[in-house]
Amino acid sequence: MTSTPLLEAVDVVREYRAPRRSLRTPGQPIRALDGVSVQVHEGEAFGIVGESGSGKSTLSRILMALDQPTSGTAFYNGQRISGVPERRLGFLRRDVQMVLQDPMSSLNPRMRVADIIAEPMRALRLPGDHRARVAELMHSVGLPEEAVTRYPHQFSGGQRQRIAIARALAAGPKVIVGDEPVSALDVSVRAQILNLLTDLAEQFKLTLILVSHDLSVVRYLCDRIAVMNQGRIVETGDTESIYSDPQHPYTQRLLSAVPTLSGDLLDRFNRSST
Amino acid sequence: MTSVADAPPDATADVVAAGPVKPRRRWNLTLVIGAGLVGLVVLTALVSFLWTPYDPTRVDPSQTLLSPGGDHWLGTDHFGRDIVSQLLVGARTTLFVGVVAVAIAAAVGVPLGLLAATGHRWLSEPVMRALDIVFAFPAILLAIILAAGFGASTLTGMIAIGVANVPVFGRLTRAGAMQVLQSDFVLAARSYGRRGVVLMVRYVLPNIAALLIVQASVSFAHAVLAEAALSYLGYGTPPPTPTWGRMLQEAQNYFVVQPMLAVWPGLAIALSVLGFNLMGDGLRDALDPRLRGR
Amino acid sequence: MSGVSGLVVEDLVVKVHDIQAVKGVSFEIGRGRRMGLIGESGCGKSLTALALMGLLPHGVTASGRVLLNGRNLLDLSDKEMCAVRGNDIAMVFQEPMTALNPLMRVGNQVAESLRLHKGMSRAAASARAVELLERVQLPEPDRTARKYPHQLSGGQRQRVVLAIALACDPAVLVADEPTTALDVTVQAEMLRLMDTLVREEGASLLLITHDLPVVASICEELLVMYGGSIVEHGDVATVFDSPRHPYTAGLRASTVLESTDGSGRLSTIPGRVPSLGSFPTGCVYRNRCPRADDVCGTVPLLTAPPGSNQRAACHHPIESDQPLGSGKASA
Repeated sequence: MTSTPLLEAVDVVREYRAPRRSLRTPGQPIRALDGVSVQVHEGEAFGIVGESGSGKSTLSRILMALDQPTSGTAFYNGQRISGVPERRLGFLRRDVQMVLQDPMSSLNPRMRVADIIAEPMRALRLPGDHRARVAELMHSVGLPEEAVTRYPHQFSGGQRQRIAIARALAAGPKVIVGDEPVSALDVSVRAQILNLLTDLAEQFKLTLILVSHDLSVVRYLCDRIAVMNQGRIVETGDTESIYSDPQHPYTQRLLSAVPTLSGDLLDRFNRSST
Repeated sequence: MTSVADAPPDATADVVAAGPVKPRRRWNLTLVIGAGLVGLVVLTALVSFLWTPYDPTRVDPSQTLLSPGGDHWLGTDHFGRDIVSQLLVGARTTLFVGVVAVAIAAAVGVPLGLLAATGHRWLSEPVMRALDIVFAFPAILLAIILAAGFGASTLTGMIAIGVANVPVFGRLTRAGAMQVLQSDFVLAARSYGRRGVVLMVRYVLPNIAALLIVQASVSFAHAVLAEAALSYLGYGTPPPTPTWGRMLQEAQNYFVVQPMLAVWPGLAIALSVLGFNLMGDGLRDALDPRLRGR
Repeated sequence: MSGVSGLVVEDLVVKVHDIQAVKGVSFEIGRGRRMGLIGESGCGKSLTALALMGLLPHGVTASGRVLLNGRNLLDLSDKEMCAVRGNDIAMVFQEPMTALNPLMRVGNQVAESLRLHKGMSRAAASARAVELLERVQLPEPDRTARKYPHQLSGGQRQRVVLAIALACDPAVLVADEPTTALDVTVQAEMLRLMDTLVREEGASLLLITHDLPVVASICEELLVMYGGSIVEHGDVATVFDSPRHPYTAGLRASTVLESTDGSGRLSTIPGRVPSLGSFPTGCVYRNRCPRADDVCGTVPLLTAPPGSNQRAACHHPIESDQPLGSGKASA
């Protein structure tokens, strides 16, 4: 792992200011990220795991330059992306795409599917036949080509997530960041979308960053993970070694809290939390 | 049932259903009544271009202050002008002033609102405070000032009403746009480099269009009322062009002799204001996807 | 033992306008038993819960029988049902923020239920409310009682909702996705708490969720619902170990993400849940089922093989040591 990481965060701090409570004193700063460093290498599937408020989504936004760190820097392919004006981020916008949790709200309800999927190509002014590319993408994600004239609300949740994935692939990215991409889906649909993601990652040689609270999904999809708690990364390493032998007490507690079909959750959880 | 058993195991089976499964749309009574009243006003205005029973400005000293009935259906005023003809032509002024005033308000207010929603504090705060000041400034006062400077005309009336409505559109646009800008699809759009004017036009505006349309119809009702008020006060469209507001004002002096003179323009104003308000309410329900198909 | 009947549901039908969303569901939860009701969105599980509570929205009607303490709850007037609700049967909802009144201190919200149902005085109810908040293991219960919902975390709010539900010692507790909105560790704490309290109170629990492992963690019995019908019923461990209905098997495989067939891909249920009113006739699952054939055009009965209490509504159930899909004729 001596090569340059594809995406990297170095000592990133992100503070928000709480709304002020009095006229004299400004609001207290809240640290969403507290000195986070992380490296994602080309071709791997990297998981960022944590509970709500752990800072995992904030970290993913900073790695995509959709949010700016208070201090620290993010890099893509060795190039600085924090504090860089938007007009000089074209390379990043093309190479890194995202899939969000709720496929209903992540698609513009007033656009037809054909336009939704073609938008990244238009926004980035990519050459080529956009309509042919849209048709090809619809096929890749397993949707019928004729459906491109429909609006998002005419699809089921799983289908909408397929549209979101097609859009993410449109610009020919190198990295896909999934922020809870299957959390809002029904159990049976979840497996379909996970299969689709793994297939596409392989087919297009994608680097995956998966942000999730769902430990079983992360375990299935990711090679390496970082466990976050209260704005810090408490543990990082190969997925299997972390799952089989968690070192940090928080990771141990988190893993012990995952219910399984064997029904031993309460026994395990009682043991770990006492 | 072989086709069922042979269904492909994965993605391809997840095909699009024949169409959106939605409960049948029910007729929205508010919208129908509102649109009906508005349609009546529009029709009246259109008819007046082709035909009026009499020339609305023709003075006939032998036929003053007639009661409804006979040759003049709704009677005549103190100059012997035909009331029906004046009402028909007055609808034109009313609609014209309303359309232009709302257009001015939206054309200025919406961009300001979008600008204020982008989030730069040093931009949004001054814009919003400026809108607050305009909001606090009475439209009638503005109309009087404009009339004093440029002479009372339809134009000064329209500008005054339009400017007074700018903050309404500005605030609404800002609130709606800020909400849309928080949404996931805008985040996704930013991730592939959409920003600035294109982001506003392609993503934000279509998603607040429903809000703005509703506001436009409510503002239209206000404009109709304001135009009538200005004409009544003598700061709107100058004579001899008939307007509902001035008809009302002139009727005042003859109220004892011929009370019906005040009733007709009053009724016209009330019905059109009611129409636009109902249409606004109806559109809000019809355009709000959360209220749809209940 | 389960011999003493707690809640008995017989042939419950819930209609949304004219479409049957719940198609004649029957089950029984013994006193003190913990029953899980599993299903995906649109299977009718939440409508079943609302029907039990008499909380169906306008345009939705229930028929059949819901027997609790010898009374059919569906026959009761709104006023009578109001007295039953909270007192004999109580509910915990998915989203604790919307289940609580944002403008009322949480202690008062717990006390309100006591004053309403038990006719307690203001002071007695307040004191009891603090005790209840302590029972649901909220820190500093007397201080917490004076807080507003937005000052609490999601897990704490759900504990308050649970305290309200348990305030009048209900015989049956219905919990609809009670932990879905919570973080994993908070979920585990909440499940532990529910488990403890339901045991201590001797109440029956109906836990409704899409999350199979959650049911496995605190329930003894399991109902699997699909398309408004119960497709499988049995002991949790048995059903998850060796599901008989192909839908249960599919759900299980989709949940346990480790299990893949030879190709390294996850096994999935093909297609998607049809929308209300567009389920196939006969077996509701036959358009997605790998085992479906002509027989499936008739509605299968919920039956158990001899010597077992694991009932499945399937014409071609999976036998214990037979892998899923082997009933299908080779393509």
